[in-house]
Amino acid sequence: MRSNTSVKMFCVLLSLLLLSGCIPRSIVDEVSLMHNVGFDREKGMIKASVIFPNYTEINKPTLITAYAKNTSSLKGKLAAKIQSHLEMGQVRVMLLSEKLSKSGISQLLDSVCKDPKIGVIRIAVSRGSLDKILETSLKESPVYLKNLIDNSIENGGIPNIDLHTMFDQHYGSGIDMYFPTLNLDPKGKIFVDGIAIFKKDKFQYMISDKEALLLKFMSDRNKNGKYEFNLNMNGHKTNFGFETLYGNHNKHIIRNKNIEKVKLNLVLNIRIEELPEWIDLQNKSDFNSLRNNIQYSISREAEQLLESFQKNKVDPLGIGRIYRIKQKGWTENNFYQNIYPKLNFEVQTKIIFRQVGVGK
Amino acid sequence: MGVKVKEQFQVSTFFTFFLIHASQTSVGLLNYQSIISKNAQQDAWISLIMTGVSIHIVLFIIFKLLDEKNNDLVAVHHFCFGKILGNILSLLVLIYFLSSNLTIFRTYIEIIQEWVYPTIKTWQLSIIFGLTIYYIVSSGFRNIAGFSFWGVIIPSFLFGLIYFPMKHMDFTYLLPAFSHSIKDLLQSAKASIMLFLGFEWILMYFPFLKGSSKVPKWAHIGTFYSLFIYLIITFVSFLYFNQEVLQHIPWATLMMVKIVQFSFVERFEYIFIFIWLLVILPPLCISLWSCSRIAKRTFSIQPKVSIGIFLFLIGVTSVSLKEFENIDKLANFNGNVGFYFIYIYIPLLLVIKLIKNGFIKSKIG
Amino acid sequence: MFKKNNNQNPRVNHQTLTEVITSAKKSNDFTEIKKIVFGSSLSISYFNTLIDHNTMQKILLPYIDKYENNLEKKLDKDKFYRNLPLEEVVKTSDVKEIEDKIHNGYALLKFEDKIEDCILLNISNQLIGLRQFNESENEFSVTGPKLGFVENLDTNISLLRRKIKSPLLITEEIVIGTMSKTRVMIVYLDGITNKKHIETVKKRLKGIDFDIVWDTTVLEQIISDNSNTPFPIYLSSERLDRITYTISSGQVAIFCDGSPYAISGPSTILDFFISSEDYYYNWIIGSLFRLIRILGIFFSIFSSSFYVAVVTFHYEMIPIDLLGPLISSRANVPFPPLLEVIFLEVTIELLREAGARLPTKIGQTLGIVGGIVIGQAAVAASLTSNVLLIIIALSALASFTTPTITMSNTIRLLRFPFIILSAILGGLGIILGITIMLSHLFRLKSFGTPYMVPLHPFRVNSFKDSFIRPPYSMINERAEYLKTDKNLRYKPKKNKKKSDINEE
Repeated sequence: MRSNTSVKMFCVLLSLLLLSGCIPRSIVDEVSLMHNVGFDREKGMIKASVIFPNYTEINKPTLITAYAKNTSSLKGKLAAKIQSHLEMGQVRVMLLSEKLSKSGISQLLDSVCKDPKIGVIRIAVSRGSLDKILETSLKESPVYLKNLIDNSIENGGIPNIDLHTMFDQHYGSGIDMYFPTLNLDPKGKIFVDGIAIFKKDKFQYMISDKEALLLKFMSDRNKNGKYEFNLNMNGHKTNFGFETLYGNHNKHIIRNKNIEKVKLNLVLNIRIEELPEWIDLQNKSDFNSLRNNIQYSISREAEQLLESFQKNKVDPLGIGRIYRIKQKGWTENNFYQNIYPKLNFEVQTKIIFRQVGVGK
Repeated sequence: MGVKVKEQFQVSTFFTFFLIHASQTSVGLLNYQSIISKNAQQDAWISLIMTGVSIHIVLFIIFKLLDEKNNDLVAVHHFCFGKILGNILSLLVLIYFLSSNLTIFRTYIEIIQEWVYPTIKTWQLSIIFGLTIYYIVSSGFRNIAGFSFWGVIIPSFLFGLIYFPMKHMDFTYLLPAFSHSIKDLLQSAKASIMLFLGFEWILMYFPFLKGSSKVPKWAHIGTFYSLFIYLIITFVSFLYFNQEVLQHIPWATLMMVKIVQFSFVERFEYIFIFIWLLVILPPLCISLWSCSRIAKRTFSIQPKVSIGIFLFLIGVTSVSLKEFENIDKLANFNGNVGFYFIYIYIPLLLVIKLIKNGFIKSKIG
Repeated sequence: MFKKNNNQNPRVNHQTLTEVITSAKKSNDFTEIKKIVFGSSLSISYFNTLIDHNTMQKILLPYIDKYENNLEKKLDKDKFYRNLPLEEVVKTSDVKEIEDKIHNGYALLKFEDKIEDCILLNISNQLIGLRQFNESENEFSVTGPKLGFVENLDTNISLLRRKIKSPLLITEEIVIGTMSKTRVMIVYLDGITNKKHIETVKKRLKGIDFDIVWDTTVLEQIISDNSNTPFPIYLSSERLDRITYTISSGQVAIFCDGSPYAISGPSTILDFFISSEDYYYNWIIGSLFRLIRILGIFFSIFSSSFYVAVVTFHYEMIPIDLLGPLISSRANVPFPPLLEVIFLEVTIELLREAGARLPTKIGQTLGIVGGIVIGQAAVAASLTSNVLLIIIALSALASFTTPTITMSNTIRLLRFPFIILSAILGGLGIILGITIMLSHLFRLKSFGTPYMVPLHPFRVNSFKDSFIRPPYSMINERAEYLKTDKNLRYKPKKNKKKSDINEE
């Protein structure tokens, strides 16, 4: 009895000893973590620019670049320039330069999808010089870029874009990818200035942040944002802005004889923050007139946006998807060549004044 | 012919629920979405229901097969085919049970190697898991039943993680519904059989359940609960992932867990994979125990010895399965053998038993 | 277990009374007084270190003096013996019994060396050198009685009998220990406790072959179901209310003379996490404290191993805001996290052991000073990181919340295998450790009942008084796993509450 237990314990201890060296350690202060990675195309090769936060040396972050012909060898080239092992597990933001986006990013996206160490990341396109943007973010905290993009998505006018939507749009047919764009303003501060829309895996064109807000209304559940337009009412002209809180949207396809129309219904709950003095909300006609003006403005601009998508042959809203569900034998090529260019768009907006402010 | 088990080794009837449910939920739950949606795509949930219902029928047949006199598979074989042929058939069934064990074992090692520790060697994990399984199985059936109980309760807290993918649900992914042919649905149903395999081990542990009249009730509830859980997870996966995307994602459930974010821990999938060990240990232990039980009943090999031998065999085989292709082939092979076992072999046994019974009755009467 | 039958030490097989007296006379404290009563010589022999001198001087000797030098009265030994004003007067001619009883503080009276005429008088002083009361500081409670057992068995039984005045309380005595001849008392409630448990206890105790029984815990280790486990199998406590609670719920208690600790079984793992204080507070507050205790224990066992696993292998799990402080605090530490943790854990264990051995006054100061100063100095010298210091300090604190010391030691021990496993295999090691620990716990039995009830042979009914302490109206039945003969403890009266709004 006694010898049996001691034999068992000996076996266990021996196996534990043998296994001590089996997993390489990635001790958190002995590896090089990166939070922000940028990819660019230069001299015919892919260039990676990486920021190392350098937590151990009291925040002396550095920017390191490397060139290679494919994404896997990039890691090797980067590793030649740092003193500890490169770890991808804490990457939060991936920036793609405009140049690289124009030449196709599917290989890059594939490497991102296949790596189990990559978690929740935000992808963005940088306009202008990628290195300059990264260098500007050196001065701030390591999560500055991530927080910037997060904030613009949650509270600003950018629809939700993350790894999941990227998978969906990239591998799914009937919808095109889009990413937020970052740019430097004249004073040298980074800001989110719009959305870059891709066709397949190449960058097609960009829309401004105002149009991005409309795209957010039409595709996202979170409709928080600030909308502005030129109000012309009762003979007065002013630029009017308000905040949208939440709402609903849905898309229908209406077949009217031979014309196919895509109808979008939007319901928005808004909050009025400022009111020109010549509008009195107690006055019923003023109230209705304001509402109609807002509805008309949003609907018109949304239709214009949809038409510009059509013209540029991109489909970020996923209208192809709706057709795919309804049509048997739907193919992507057939749809985008034959049906999509001929579609009509109609947007109907309904505004509900949720909050009109506390003061008079 | 049957075997009477002392009461100190038996477990109460309601453990059947946990035993059946725990045997069915194993690694299949992590990667089944891309497999079942290959043919039926968004209607694959119908295939799941079809398979689930058929499992109820097979369970019904099993409980007609096992009765007071022949209360486990070895006894049924002896009754239907005589001692020698019966033992050979039991041995073949033993090999099938071992291959189920091997599939789960190797797939989980593969998950650890791919997701958590890319450089760990298979033999190292085989030794660790092998020793742990030996320790659990050698403590007897009661403890294995207790383990399957806790292997269902503790991971059920993971169910709450459904909240995170549900925030991004899109109902249009399930459309157009009911648009696939019966052939597609049946093919998906066949592919989904691996989710439900495992309940057939009750053929060996039936004598260990107290109060055999109530056992069928709990067994049916157990497999229904499995079907229920699978349906919920299928719906959530299908509402979260587009069908085309699913074909590119081999481990759909783990990808869904990737988005879970708490303020105090970031990458929840590591915790998920580690807690999943508690989910796969019951089927590993029950299948190994059933194999050692067959060995004991047919050739009177001491269970402690046979468990050691079987674990050694499983370890050696899993080391030799080096690439993911081979593991896929093994899983397919196992699924196919299981398919024929539960849909053809077990009803055949029942038919032979009824014929023999009729024979004996006519001889007596 | 001791296989060889050790039948005392040699040379202790005295056959005659003379041999007994001669052997006893070799010790200096064996006194013999000779008196002349009824014309014959009466000798009183005793160990003067064992007797109560008060009884001797004020009761026995005056009584003998009355008969001394009384030459008129005829020799009437029976009347002499019958009128002895003492409780226990034993007339015996069994040499062995005489020897045993002399060593227990009895005085031997014999007339002219005639063995048929000797009697033994119990004038022993059981309380010399022993403390009279025990405030149970080791199992401290804020409210409730602070009654603890003492080293004298009779005092303990008297405390017990004052609490349980029922005629069902049975105390059976066994003598264990060839050299110490310790009186061991088995206490149970007749008609309530399951007879199988009583039989098991009696059988195991009677089969013990041991020389000196120092403490009840010696008995506990010998009769234990499984001696290769770090978990305590039987509940041992020095508090009166704890032991009376276990007796009343159907367990068997074992008392040992010379030990203030009593053990009771069969017990389950959850018995070690409940304290009598839970029952003195309102059930909501009691439940809250119990839950905090259980959470504290989980934290205590796993926190260091989580730290090692996450920092060594799974850096991806660290939230991004915590990365900065964690890395900068670990920046100058030259050791891998495993060595850091082991260093700090060993320091805490050393502090604990040192604090237990030092005299109270120095111990308190040293504990505080040691803890704070060593901690700060270790961080300043870059031997550890301050995040880890907080974790280790909190887990040490949390491990002190266990009410029973035996379980507290187990938890101290359990941390180390988890730390080593997590250093080898990361998170997988922790979950493997949990599996192995669970499997080990499932096998344990305490006097034949499974240790992990109600968790392992899952009994819904036994969950009532485990993690939450229900109000007294709901715990009126005894626990099912003890298989008691009578289940009902008391019948709670149900008061129908009248709601004001219906009466208005």
